[in-house]
Amino acid sequence: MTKIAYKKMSPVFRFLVTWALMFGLTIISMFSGDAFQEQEITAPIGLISVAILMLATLFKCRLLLFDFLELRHAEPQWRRGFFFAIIIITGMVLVTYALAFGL
Amino acid sequence: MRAPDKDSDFYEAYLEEIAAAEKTNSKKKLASDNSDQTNGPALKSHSAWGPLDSLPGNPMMWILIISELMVFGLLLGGYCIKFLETPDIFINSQAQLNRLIGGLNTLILITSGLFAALATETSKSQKTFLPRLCLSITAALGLLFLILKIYEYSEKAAVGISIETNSFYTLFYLMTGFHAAHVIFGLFLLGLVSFYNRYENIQTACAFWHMVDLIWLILYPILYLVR
Repeated sequence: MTKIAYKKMSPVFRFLVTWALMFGLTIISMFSGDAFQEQEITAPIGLISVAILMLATLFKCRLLLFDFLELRHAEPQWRRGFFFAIIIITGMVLVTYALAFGL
Repeated sequence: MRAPDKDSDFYEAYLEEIAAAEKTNSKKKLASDNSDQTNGPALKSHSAWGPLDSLPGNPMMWILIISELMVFGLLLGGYCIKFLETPDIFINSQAQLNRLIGGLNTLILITSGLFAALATETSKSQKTFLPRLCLSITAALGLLFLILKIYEYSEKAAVGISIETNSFYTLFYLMTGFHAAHVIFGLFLLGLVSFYNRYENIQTACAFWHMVDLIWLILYPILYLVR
């Protein structure tokens, strides 16, 4: 979907697309994190799964910030600032995992 | 000149033209001034909140959003440090969490965020029924989130797990409990703006709700899934 096509959507349709993307990314996260498995699992899920989880989180937060909170209409510095804050948090978790279980 | 839609590609160019026209007008005004006083710097339009003015909605709500992100960011920083100190405790404790309920709660909050955004959008046209309907659905989903959260806590309490069990559960209850308190306050706000349903009020309350949603989007994978 191109940027211009996304901008030309009506706000309601854009919210629905945002919601669908966030919903889908959450389902992917749940699969990555073994959320549908009932038994207690103590084995680490692996660095790649953690990276997928953090990327999905990053994109969900970006969608919420830019579309639901309408940060799309703010100055670019604000958009970059908030996105950078989320990158810091998710990056911190990824580094923590890598340090705890090795690369 | 009619302003283009904010989503349009021409909106930024329109803003630049307006700024340039204001600058030209202020220069003309200074040049035609017959006062003996020395001309000072060019007149600037003073905004009340400075850089915060460019953020949509109430700047105070954005100050709250930024501060909450900092608080939860620091809590998660503490979580990461404890994780590195005692990874075994964290892994074993995380294995006991109900990841499915956490995931369902995430889906519920995302859907409530959709209706909060729709409430803001429909309130622009000064209607009352549609925004109230959307706010009601948002609040109902928020209530469902709290019910599932209480069920999850009761599940843990039934097997003797509490905030004092270990460092993982201390942080878990602290973060999710603090978040749940925000959800409760958010429900109160949504109820309030259903009556005082001006566009600005609904926009502010829904911004708070989106912040609550944002915090949970970060908390869920880190607490429940990353292990």
